[in-house]
Amino acid sequence: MRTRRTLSSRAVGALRVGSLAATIALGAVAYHARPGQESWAEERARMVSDQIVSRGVRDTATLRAMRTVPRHEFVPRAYLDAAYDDRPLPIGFGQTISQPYIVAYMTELLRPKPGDRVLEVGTGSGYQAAVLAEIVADVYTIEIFDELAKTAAARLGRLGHRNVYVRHGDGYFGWPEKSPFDAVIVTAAAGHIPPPLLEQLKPGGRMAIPVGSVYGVQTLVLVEKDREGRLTTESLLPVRFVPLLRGPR
Amino acid sequence: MRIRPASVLLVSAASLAFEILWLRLFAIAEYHHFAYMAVAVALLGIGASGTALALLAERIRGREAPVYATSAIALPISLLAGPVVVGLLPFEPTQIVFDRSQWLVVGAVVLALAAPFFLAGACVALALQHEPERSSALYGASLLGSGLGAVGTLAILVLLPPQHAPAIAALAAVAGAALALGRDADRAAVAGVSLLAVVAGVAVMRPPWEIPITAFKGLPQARAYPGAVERARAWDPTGWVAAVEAPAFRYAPGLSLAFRGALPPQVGLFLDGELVGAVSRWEGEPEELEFVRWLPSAAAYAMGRREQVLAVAAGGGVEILSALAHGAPKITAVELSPGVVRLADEVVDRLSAPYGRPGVRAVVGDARLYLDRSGETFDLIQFGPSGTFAGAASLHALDVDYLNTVEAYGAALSRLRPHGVLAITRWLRLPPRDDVRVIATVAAALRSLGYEDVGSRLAVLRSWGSVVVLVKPDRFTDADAAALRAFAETRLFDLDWLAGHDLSGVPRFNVLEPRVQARAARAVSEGGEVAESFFREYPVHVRPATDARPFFSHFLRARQALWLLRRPPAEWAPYAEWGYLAVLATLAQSVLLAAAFLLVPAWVVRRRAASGGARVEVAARAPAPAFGARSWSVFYFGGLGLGYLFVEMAFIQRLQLWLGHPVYAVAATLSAFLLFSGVGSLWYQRRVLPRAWWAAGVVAVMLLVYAWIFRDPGGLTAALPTGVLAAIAGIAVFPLATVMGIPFPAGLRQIEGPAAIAWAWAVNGFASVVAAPLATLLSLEAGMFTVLLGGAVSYGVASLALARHERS
Repeated sequence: MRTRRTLSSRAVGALRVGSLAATIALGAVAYHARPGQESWAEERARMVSDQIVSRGVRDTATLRAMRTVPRHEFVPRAYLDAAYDDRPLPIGFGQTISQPYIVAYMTELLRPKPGDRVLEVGTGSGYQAAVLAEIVADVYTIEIFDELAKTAAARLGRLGHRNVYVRHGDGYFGWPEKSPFDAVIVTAAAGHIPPPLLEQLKPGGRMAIPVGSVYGVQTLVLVEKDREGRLTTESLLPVRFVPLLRGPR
Repeated sequence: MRIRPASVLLVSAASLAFEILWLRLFAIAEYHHFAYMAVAVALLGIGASGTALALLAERIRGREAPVYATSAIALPISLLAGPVVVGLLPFEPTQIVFDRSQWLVVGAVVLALAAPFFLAGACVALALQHEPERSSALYGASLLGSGLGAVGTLAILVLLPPQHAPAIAALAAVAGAALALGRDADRAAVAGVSLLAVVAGVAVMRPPWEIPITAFKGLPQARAYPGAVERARAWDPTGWVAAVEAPAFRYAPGLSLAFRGALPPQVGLFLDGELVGAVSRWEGEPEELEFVRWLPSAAAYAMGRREQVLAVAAGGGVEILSALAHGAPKITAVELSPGVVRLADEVVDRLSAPYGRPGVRAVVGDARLYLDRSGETFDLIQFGPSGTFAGAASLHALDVDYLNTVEAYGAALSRLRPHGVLAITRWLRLPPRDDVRVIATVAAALRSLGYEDVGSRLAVLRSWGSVVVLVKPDRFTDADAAALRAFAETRLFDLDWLAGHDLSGVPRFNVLEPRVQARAARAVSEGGEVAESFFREYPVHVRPATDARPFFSHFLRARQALWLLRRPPAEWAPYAEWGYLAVLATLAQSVLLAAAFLLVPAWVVRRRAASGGARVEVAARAPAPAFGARSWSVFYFGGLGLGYLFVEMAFIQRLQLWLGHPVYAVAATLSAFLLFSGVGSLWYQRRVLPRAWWAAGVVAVMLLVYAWIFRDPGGLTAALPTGVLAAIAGIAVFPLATVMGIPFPAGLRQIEGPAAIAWAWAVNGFASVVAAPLATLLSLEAGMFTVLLGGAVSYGVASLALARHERS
């Protein structure tokens, strides 16, 4: 009798352990299951509403582009699950694909229009170029790391972005033969703004440069060239963080 | 079989060397605060060893020596395995706020680092358990060994590149293991130790690990540029320097948007993987250096030629070039890193060598000490920006910075000749903070020197990415104002403040709302309640930095940090002061882990006791201190652990001002305290105090006296050379540290049984670990004086706990 009771309690114990393991396994499978195209579209829509519109980006062309470009195609496989998260992601060579909000904010900042020619310095994954390509006529993008340039070019080609031209090289000198540009976007500044890029900016054009730590963009600098060619800058706070400026209440 | 004190000494030396070396290696591979965090948590291994031995006391009883030998043999294995394991792990702490899997990796890193501390801690505790009657001698040997480990580490870092150094610690541990083997040791153990000696020796020559520098630092990125060539490397205890040249690498901090020329070819200099400047290649013609005339820091030259220029923290020499290009005949360049100075001249030809040019005098050392002690005077003193924006971005909140305090700016101002100018350039961040604190600090410095109407002696210039604060004690003249306006207009810079001069109609090129710099300058000019109100209402902490609280880069208020952490990472990450958050995280982790290691085992044993098992006796011994009956020992040994670390941390910060570099301050403090405490402990071996609580009580009183004496150490630095100051520090530390070696063995004599000894060891170890981040937070928020007082209180509490126990 005593033996049977022991066996029975062991069986119950085994059953409990088994069900726990099955639950964990199912949970893991569910967690790691990759969404289909529809789910990706839903994630994009959620990304736009929760991370971008809520923080004040209003430009309809920008929002449409952010809803269209499949960000998950631009992130490393290891980070696929985080493709639409509110964060930058590493893409190798110490480079990142920017936080979605920063991409949207910088795009809006350039005031891109159909027919514009835009120069991007620092192609990275190609995501920012793809977003711009949804709005403007042509995007010229330069990447200093050969491997990143190749993979971005292949990716952009595969996704059908025929109006993006990728070049491997030193973006410091811009792309003089295609200049002037209506807008220039520089994805990293190391202490100064390259003079050749300012020269290649059209009068009336705008340039956006994020400067800050690798952990997260801290400051965006907007450079404007007026019709007479005079340059002015504006330091912008990328993340609307009014409570911090007022101090915690 | 006896455990030799010499073996304990070597084991302790190896573990302390490992601790300091890992702080250096992590500082190169990641950032200083991650180093601090990882090593602080790994030190929990020492406390954990005490917990484990308290639980296993009965099983080990009588076999302490063989278990000691086994632990001593395992120690070098763990010391060699640690760097290999850490190198293999995908450790990327920069992603920790976003990527949950990084927590697992961090856990693995901590475990890999904690293993040697666990084993070394176990060795010392086993030795104390084995022969409690010789506790003073064994504890003294441990302290002496740790002190020698600290000195030895400095020597190792002079002789060897940092990645070779951990294997030296392993060699010391092998020697400790060899001494742990008795004469009757079996052949297998002897063969094993011999093999370990060979492996450690080979690892010294050819370490099987690399320093895995995070891809987000400047050095790996520069190395990855097409055509990049690493020209040279240098190392010394203060840092590991690499020089990289690449066609795509360019350095012109804050260059004007109006500049239309080209930059000369440059070689980047990286200290511990972070950019500190660049050397330009030029043929000796000033026209080649046109770009330096378009840097914001050139503003001071707009007001006239400067004969004698001092470039502070000269780095790659851009301010030297600027002085040369502006015709300064005599330039003094002060740079802290010998490696930077050496490579700056070595990697380029003689004509381009910044420090070796005629008219340039290089001073290798701390600029604050130079300002305090040099009798020279200058027409211009330049504090240039260093590195890039990323380098300025919230990574240095914990840095003790005696170069940017009221006292340091005061020293600089008093070195100015008539009509001389002090120019301080800072990167612009949002919300503005570094530049605002510079304005506040120079205003306080001017007032401390007796100047009134400080606003009329300030000018503030702002570019698209940096701010220059100019200070002219003799006031800016109309000619100066006109020159500055012209300079600003041609360079597209904004003149934010020039008191007494009409700035209406001055064009604005760089929009920044609100115009904080002007508000700050106005507030500090008014002083009194106006300034107070500005500081109070400003979103971050920007009050002047002082020698008493020398944390120039710490801006986040404690309540803001906690408030920010409740926000989603994507919102607070851009504003985070990582060093500060790392201290908070370390403190939280340390308290939680210490509680888990102290309380959970106690609970387990109590349950065993309650169930009436065979180990009731063990239970009665081990958990008792945590549950009332022997609570005095928790307060006593915990108080000693807290107090000792508090005192060490306070002295490290103070000695940095005297010795000029944190590495020297750490090595000098640790070695002096541990060696002298070892002497004190050994002295106590054959003596008996009438009352055991006296020892901790005397330390508490001495600390109160020291806190009063050292409340303002700055005054001494002006007059005395480093050697004399080091001697004064040594003489000051000797009596204190010697007495501090006595309370621990004095307390051990009051307890009985191996479990209680191990328990005391655990409590002491955990308290030390909690003390390190706690002392840093106290120092940041209330100043170092408070930390010394905290040490006095800790020893006072310990003394009272023991006094009460003795009476009962």
